This record gives sequence, C-alpha cells and structure tokens, in this order.
Amino acid sequence: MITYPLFEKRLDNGLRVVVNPDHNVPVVAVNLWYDVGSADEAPDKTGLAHLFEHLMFQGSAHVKSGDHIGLAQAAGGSVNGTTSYDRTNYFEAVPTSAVRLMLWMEADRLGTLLDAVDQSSLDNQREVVKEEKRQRYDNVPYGDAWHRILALTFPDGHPYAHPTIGSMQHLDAATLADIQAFFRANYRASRVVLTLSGDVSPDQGFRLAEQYFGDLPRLPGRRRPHIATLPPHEGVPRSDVSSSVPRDAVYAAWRLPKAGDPDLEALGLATSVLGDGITSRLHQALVRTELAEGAGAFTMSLARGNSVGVASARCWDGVEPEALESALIDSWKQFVDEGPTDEEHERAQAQFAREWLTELAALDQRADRFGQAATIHGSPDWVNQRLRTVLAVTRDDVVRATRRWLEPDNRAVLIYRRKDAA
Amino acid sequence: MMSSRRPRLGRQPAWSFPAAGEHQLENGLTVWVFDLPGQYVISATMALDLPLSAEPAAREGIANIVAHTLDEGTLSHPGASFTETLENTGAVIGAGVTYLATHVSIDVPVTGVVDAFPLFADAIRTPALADDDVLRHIGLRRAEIQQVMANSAQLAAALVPGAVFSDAFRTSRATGGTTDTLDAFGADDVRAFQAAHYSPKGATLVVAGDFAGLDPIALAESAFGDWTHTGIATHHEDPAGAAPRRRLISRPDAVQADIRIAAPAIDRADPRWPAFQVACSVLGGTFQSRLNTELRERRGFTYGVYMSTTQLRHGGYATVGGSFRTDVAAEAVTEALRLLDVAAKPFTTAEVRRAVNFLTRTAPLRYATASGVSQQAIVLASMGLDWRHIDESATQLAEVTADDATAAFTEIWPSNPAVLVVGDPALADGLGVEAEPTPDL
Repeated sequence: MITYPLFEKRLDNGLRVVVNPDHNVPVVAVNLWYDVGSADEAPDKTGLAHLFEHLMFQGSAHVKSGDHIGLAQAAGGSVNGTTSYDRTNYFEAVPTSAVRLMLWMEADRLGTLLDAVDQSSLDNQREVVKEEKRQRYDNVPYGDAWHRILALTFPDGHPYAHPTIGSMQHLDAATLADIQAFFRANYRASRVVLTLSGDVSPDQGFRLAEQYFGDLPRLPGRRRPHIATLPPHEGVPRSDVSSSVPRDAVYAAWRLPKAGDPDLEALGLATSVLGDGITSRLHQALVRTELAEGAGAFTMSLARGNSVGVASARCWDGVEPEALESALIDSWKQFVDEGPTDEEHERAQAQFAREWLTELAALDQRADRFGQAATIHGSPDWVNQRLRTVLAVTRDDVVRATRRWLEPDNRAVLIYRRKDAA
Repeated sequence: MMSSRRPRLGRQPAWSFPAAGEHQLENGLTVWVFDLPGQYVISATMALDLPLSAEPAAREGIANIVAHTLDEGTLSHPGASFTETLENTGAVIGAGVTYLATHVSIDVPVTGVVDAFPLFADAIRTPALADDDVLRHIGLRRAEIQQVMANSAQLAAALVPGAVFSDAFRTSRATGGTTDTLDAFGADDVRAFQAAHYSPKGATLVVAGDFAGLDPIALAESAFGDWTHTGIATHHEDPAGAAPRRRLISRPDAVQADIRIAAPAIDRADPRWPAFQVACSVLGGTFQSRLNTELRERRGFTYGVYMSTTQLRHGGYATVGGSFRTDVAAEAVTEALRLLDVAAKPFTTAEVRRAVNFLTRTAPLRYATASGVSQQAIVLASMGLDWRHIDESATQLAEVTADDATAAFTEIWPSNPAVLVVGDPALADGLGVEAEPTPDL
C-alpha cells in the first residue's frame, strides 16, 4: 500500500501548511483550499463565491490584473481556481524555480486583494462569468441537469439547492460592496490549508510558508455551519422538462450520507457496480439491450448534511423514457435486493484502486486531495488511509448501505423530453 | 511585514524528456519503455500504423467501429467475460482512431500488469467483433452523431476539418464516419477490416510506469512476439486545402455563438514549426495571449478564446475557437481576424520570450506522469517521429526570434481563413452570410 510522506504545521495566524515531499520531478504543486463555497452564500446572492474567485485573478496590491496566471505560465506553470459547494481552491503546479513567486502572489492576494479590486474589474468578470454560465450550462443539451437534480434533492433555500454558478439575476445584482464584504468575512489565514506537493523538503516548505504568509493577521476561524441530514426522499418527487435535447433522458437521484460517513465509501462501490463501465449492471441491462444509448451512476460527495447519488440513462432512439426508467429501476431493485456478487465487489475495489492511484500520480491532483482531506476530513492523512478504507469495505457493508440509502422508492426523478424543433 | 517586492525566479531546473528503452521485435513492432519511478499505474498504448485514408471511401467509420468494439469480447474470452476478467485486474482499456493512427491503450496498477497484458494483446490481435456487438456500436455511433449535431460547440468543432481540407481527402471528414457511410458496412466487413489492417509492422507500443521488479520487454515479447504482419501497405495522405468560406449554422434558441476560425498549416517536420508554434501561443495559447487579453479580459465577450494547432503526418491546421454571447459574436469575429493580422502588428521580443518560456518550461509538469509521457510519445510515434523530438524541439524553440515567429505566421496563416459560426440566425447580416440549417453529419 502506498503511503505518501506528509508533514504538517499550523502558523501562528491559523494557516495550516501540509508538505508532501516527492523528488521524482523538479515540480511543486501549490494548492490552497479556502473553507468557503457556494453553500455559504445567502439565498439572494447566489454565484457570489465563484464570481469572487474570478476577482482573485484580477490583481492585488503588488500584482497587476492577469499577472497571476501570466507570470505563472511564463515560468512554466499551470494555474487555475475552482469553486464548489463547500470550498474554493486555487492551485498552480510550477517548476521549482517559481515556488517563491507563486507563494508571494498567493499571499499578496490573500493579504491585499481589496487594494486592487474595483468596479471595472467586477463588471468585466461579471460578463466573463455570465459567458461561462452560457458556455457550460445554458447552451448545452442537458447542461442544466445537475442543477435540476440539486433542486429536486434539496428543499428551496437549502445551502446545496442552488448551483455554484448562480443565477444571471444575482450575478447582475452583485455589487462591489458584496465582494468586499465576502472577502472580509471569508478570506483569512485561519480558513486556508496550503499544500505543497513535489520537489520541496518539509523544512523548506514550512520556512517559505512562514516567510510569505506568516505576517498575515490572526483572525478567528469558524465552525462550519451545521446542515442537518435530510431523510431519504418519499413518494418519488419528479420533474419533467421539455428541452432542446437530441434524445429523451432519465435521471434518478438519492439523498446519501455526507462525506466521511463510512456508508458513503460503500455506496461508491455500489454505484460503481451499478453504473461504471461496460461490465456494469446498468450498461448490461440498458445499453446492451438497446434501451439506452448510455447509462451510468455515481456519488457526489458533499461535506455537510447529505451527499447525492445519481443514476442516468439516455433513451435509445424510439424508446420512451417511462420504459427506460422502469428498466433502470428493475435493475436497480435487483441489485438492492441481492447486492453485488463477490466478483463484482472485488472488481469495483480493483477499479477504485486504479482510479485513486492514477489521481494521486499527478502532483497537482494529489495536492488538491490533501487540501480536501485537511479541510473536510480533519487530516491530510485521510488520503493515505482511503485506499485501505475502501478495500476493507465488505460485500455485506455494501448490501447494508445500499438498503439504507438507495432503495428505488427513495429516489427523485428528472425526465428530459425532446422538444421538437419548430 | 509582507514584502512588496516580487521574488525573482530561481534557477530553471535541468530537465529532459524521460529516455526510452527502445526495442524492435522481429515482426517489426517497435517498443518504447519509459521507466518512471513512483508511477504505480502502468500506462501502455499501441499505435497502429493505420491512417483513416486506409478506409474504403464508401465505408468511412469502419476503423472507428473496430476500435470501439475491440473490448466487447475476444476469441478466447467471448462476450462480457473479456472485460470482466480484464477489469478484475484493476485495468481499464480504451481505443480510438485519429486521422493518423488507431490507438489502443490500457491503464493498470503495477500489481495487475502481468495478468492484464495478455488480455490487452487479445483485444488487439483476436477480437471477436460479434455481429450484435458490431451492430450495436454502429447504432451508438449514429446516436453520437445526433448528440454532436445537438451540441453547438461540438458541431462547430466537427465542421472544422471539412472547412480546412479539400473533400478529395479523408482528413476533411469525420473520423467516425457519417450517417450514410455507416449504412454501407456490416459485421463481416468490420471483421475483415480488422484482420487486414491490424498488424505489427509500423506499429509502436509505448509502455510507461514504475517497472521495479517487472520486465516490460519480456511482457511485450510474450504478448506480441508471435503476431504476424498482414502484408498490408500504408499510405499517409497529404491533404490539400479547401477554398475558404464563411458559414453560419442556424441555432434559433442559442444564447451563444460557437466560433471557429481555421486554416491549413504545417507539420512538425517543417523547419518553420517551432516559430509557428510560438506564434500561435502568443496569439491564443496562454491566458495573456493577444486574443484572450482583448476578447476576455478587456471586453468580457467570452469565458475564453484559444488558438490551437493540429498536426498530421503531412500538414496540419490551426484553429481559433471560443463561445461568445450573440450580441457581440459578429464583432468578436471581426476583432479576432484583426488580431490575427500579424503583419499589421508584428510580434515583440517580450511576447516571444514569454511564449517560449511557457512552451518549454511547462514540460516537466506535462510529462510528470506515466499517462502524460505515454500520450505524448504515442502522438510522436503516430507522426513517424522519435521521442527525442521533445528535447530537440525545446532547443529549437529557445532559438525562435520575434522576426522568425512573425515571418512563419504571416507565411502560413492566410488573410482569408475559414470562419464557422454556429449560433443565432440573426447574426447573418453582421457576418455577411446566409444562415444554413444544421447539416447532416
């Protein structure tokens, strides 16, 4: 079993530092997980966390707009940031020559963003984000499926009920004062995990973290607001959409336990047997029989309250969505009743092992997982334990978790119907 | 106190593309082994010297169907038992076609490689290609065509090769074939195509990962050593360009227009390749490229705009692409064409240095994993190039001057490239073209 070396320290201002030395290539992945995401937005200010993330690239007291990415790329780095429900991450993988530069720029924007952000950068990035929303969600067949699944899974006003990208109306309404308030409330050293993975020693990593981040003020951290766990759906809530899609499609969604609950890893193995690849139950029952053009299932891990499980299938030309849903649920029910075979269970574990090792083979993805582990699971060592944990899940664990969380009657259903072109 | 002074870059670490162990089996198969400590998932890819120009014209798409049906069962492991046995080792197999080659790949944890490798060879050498599996995959390809036609960005991308190359060449048409050509073959044809064209001669097997305690050459020899050449000859076409034109594909409900501006370009063997690559990077290869700075960061027209190059065995093409909200899309085309007029604003030394640094210094990161190394190696092998090309190319890139980049770009990129827009028909006036309905693919 692979165990990555791991060293941790907390600076006096509360910033947590994780160093994972790996000297195989002269590259260091720098990753910052900020403990704030779209679930922390007010219901009338959706999209603010992500819009704010864009403004983090528009310059700070000593960095010109666009230079964060520009200087990193010219130094040989790959850079970006993403916003999700429970966190915002910023990351760059750079040659060892550029580690100081990146830490300095990251610290500069955490310390001095408000010196630079102004109405014109807000207005520009508001348009960019609206284009992102159009490109990724609004102008794509089934592009709003995930948003509709969230709205079915969580009640109105629930922190996970709205999409991270937000609404056009809220994006239009965001003010400079909103941005400033968001920064002051959430962007502080005590809410950051800084991870360095790659060609750096623990001493060097801690020294650099202290040098660049050590002078940031000590401000209180926070206890993550509690979100209650919702019980499984009852009565099969439904949403039926007419849309410009090439084929009708069926999605089913379940409320699952939150990240860190032992059942969630068992459910990950269950959805793998059900919907991962051409050996899966759904592929065999729906695609090989030419009821569906594609079928799959997965779990989406969320930190508080509930995660989400999803099954999906796109109708084969001429197949009605009702017939497809019925076949999907028959297959699902058989699995819930009988559980996986021993061979299926072990295959799902072997496939998980490869996927997990592949992910950790890349320094940038590994660093991101350490940030996730420290932020959501309390310790970066979760990364080293996870494969062991999943391989220890028994077939009986899967059967028990499946019956508790994935009963067909506890699903919600989203159907897309093809709107014929006028 | 936090320092206001930006740290200088440290010394650029010495780096070179990992050296391959090279072997040739008696049947002509070339094997490159990249031993990468710490990479515990082995990545292996077979590049068959099988360009799509080998397909019979009436049966385009047949190579793609073969590739997609390989893992549906083999002669020794019929039906689902093949993938089940393979996946029990933790492996995943994939296959696909490009204009240059067919690629079949496997990723497998080190612990499963000895069991998985013979199965990988089975899929390539003795696939069952059973009737119902082949017919289902033809149906799935039809469905995929419908998905592409319904997706504005995918449709725009799918129309690029036909906009760039003369229709006398295979490279102008979809790799997976069209609705019409899919009608023209059945399972017997698919099996015959595989039997005739899957051959070790000219093929390259790339394996990358941590081989501590393993002998990858012995694995390759035992899996592929007795594979015999079918005698088929390979021809790589050198496609001529198409007459450039503007097209607007009508999407009445679209909230954005997907734009592609494209033209034929050069391959890596052309002496201007490093300078052209730098030029495209300055224009659209980085966040602070000319196109992205103007159209995203100054004007807020788009989430992002890029310029990329695609190289073939002979020739290639370059493409500018992005999605723009309808009310600025025509202006975006005009502005992009203005920015592509490099003669009017030649590259500066500072721009060229930044692009060269980006292209060369990102290499350690791009090639830090087994899959990164093997994917790049297989692209080179498919072009008939050697893995040493990466280091040679870095040396050449470092010597590119602003004048070289300006000269290469202005010579290669035409003043009237093809323009494709998939979007609101109301854009017709602004673009100066008639809107067309979505073409059948």
